[in-house]
Amino acid sequence: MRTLLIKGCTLAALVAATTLAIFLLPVPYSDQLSAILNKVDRVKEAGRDRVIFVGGSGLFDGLDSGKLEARLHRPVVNLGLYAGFGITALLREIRPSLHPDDVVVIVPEYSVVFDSTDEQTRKWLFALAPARNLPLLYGALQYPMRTFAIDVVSLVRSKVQALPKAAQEALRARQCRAFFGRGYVYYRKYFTQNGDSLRTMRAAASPEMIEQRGVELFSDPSYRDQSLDAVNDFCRDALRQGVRTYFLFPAYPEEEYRRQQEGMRRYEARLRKELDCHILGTPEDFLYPYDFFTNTVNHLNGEGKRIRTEKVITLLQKPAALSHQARE
Amino acid sequence: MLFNSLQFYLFFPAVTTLYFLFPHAWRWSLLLIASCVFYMVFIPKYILILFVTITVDFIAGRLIEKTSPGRLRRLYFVSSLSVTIALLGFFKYFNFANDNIADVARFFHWNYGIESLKIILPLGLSFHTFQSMSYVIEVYRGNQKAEHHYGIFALYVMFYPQLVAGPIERPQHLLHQFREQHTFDYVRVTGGLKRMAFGLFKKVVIADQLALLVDQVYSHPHDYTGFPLMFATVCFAYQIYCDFSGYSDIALGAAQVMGFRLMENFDRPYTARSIAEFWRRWHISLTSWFRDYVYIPLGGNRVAKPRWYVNILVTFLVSGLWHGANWTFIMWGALNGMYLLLSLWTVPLREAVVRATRLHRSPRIHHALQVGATFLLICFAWIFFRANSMDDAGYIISHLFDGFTGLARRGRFAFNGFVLFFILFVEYIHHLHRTSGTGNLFSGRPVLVRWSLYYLMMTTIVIFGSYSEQRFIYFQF
Repeated sequence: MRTLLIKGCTLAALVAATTLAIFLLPVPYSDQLSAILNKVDRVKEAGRDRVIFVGGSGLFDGLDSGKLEARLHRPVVNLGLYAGFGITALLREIRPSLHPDDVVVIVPEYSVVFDSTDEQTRKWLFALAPARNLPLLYGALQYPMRTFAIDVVSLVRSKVQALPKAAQEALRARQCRAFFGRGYVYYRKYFTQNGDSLRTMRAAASPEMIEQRGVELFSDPSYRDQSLDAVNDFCRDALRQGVRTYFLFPAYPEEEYRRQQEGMRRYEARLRKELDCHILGTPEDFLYPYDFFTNTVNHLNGEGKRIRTEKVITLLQKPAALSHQARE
Repeated sequence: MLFNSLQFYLFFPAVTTLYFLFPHAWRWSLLLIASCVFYMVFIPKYILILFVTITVDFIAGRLIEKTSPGRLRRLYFVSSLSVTIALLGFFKYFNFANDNIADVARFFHWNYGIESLKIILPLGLSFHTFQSMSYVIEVYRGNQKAEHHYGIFALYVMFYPQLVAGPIERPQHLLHQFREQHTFDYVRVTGGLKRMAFGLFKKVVIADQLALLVDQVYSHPHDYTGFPLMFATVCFAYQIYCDFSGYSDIALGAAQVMGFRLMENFDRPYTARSIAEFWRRWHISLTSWFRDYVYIPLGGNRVAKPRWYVNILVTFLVSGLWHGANWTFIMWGALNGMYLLLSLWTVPLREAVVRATRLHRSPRIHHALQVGATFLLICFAWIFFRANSMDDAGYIISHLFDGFTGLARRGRFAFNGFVLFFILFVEYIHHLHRTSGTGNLFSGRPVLVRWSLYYLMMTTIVIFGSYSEQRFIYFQF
């Protein structure tokens, strides 16, 4: 029995050590959501006077940051990737690296508003800043140790799955350095340097194919006040630092908006009353026909992306939002 | 309690340690309590159904033994089987039968007012009722003495390693083992633990990973055409194999740790060269149950040919129905029965083809073709087993060969390429099992080789395992 226990414990220790070693290894991940690491790093590297867009996949697929950068003459970073990260979590991540004259544009999707981090994204926020996010993400959970262990193992698995691709990149570049890195192993294949999607999705063949169509978004006219408080807290703190924060409405199908107009107007009125940052434009500025949407009510096709980008440029230029004198 | 849950990996060492610490006379009671706890984790009140079966069959066994052959003995036997089958029928087939009657009534515009019942199928009902039935049948046939100890008999029916998904044991094989004194034998215990680890590997690393892709496709089959449907079906073949044989490995390993020998349930089924051979290698405990208690009593092959064919078909239809109260399972059973009949009818034709193509001169190629053809036929039958409805199965079959572009609507496949390596690893281990016996794997190899393999297997389970605690597929039966 004793021999069995000793051997069992030795094996368990070896496995635990291997898992930890891989977790600490500075290699990329295989999951697309890990691109959030690249994007946050991009915020840090983009210099000063940045325009940072914070939102979900509606931004990732529906904004031409390259064009914005050219027209606004400022570095633009698109943090949009997946709404499940939650606006407040992303704001928390960029907060330490903001400089005066940066501009943060918040574009939450209607379906989640400022909602907080979901199960799928928690581990990626932990990977972004392990020490800082450990108590924040796991402290309030019912089974923190179990969830934490599962998340660490998922991160390790993602690293192991990325190893063949990382090795291939290193061989191609003939540089060991290319094997190491942070973020998504296929980042350059699927993302622009600004953080936009490189794919252009085709419009849905028919409106019936568009997911989340017909969903009643604002039958309950409340949204998470706690999250709103966190956003307002960010806006006030940013203003003190000389960083301006704006709110933009997301792209949405016109027909869906008309169907639930009353709720939408209630939501807009509440935001205008309670949000501590300037709201640029109206929901109507970003309404499009179904022909411009792809697989969900949040994702635009190429034409939709182009029109929306033009509108964003107009709105950011119109109130002299980006000029240094406009600082409140 | 699931074998892939954290609960089980606390429960199992605790029960095993107590088992070896307890005096022999008290071990049965420890195992019985542990089995009750194991079962009650799911839905506690359903243990009463289990105890009804146990009590009825225990009393029936005693009465049958006491009574000399004749009407009364037969009455006890039939009564016991009736109660057991009635329980199974009520919980498993009532709603199915009721829904079908309601459909027929609706078709003829009849008024049929019996509502379906809101009941959940007790876990492993088909397994423990069959195990209990085999006891009564064997006592009735005179092959087994009736058990006089209620606790031991209850343990025979609900021994926790094989309680919810088999192997379905026979009384001659298992019952006497509860009276044997098992000591702590290092080689046996470590052999059992290794087998458990291998089973867990198959379940959490292969079956649960393949389940992601299979569920993605089979939940919305109409979103796919061609290759994705084909690929998901092949993946399901391996998912169900690794899921169920993984469960069996954990069951056999857990029992082995405590000194019990359970029946082998799988023998590399996908290397079978014919459908008949496949069924000798797949879910062996159930196949042999149907052979001994359905097929042979119907007359087996010692009857006129047409009757023999009917016997085969009936046995497979009952087997399909045993798996689930759904037309898809009945169709799956019927299809396997038809395969077997076709294989019997086409023997001369296939022999002629082999001679004409001179395949008999290249036995390896002939063997590979036989294995490949059998695997494809089995995969085709799995479509009915996995599809959620006959409509879905029909769609999948009619769109299987629609090319390679059917992914467009759903985007990326949830397929982890590493799984292919793991499947090859499992096949290699099974090959070793077959060539070097079922004893301790790698026992004769150098320490470094053994430890490297254990270390790799455990690390793979930790890193690539699924922690969703997904149920074993056969738990639903």
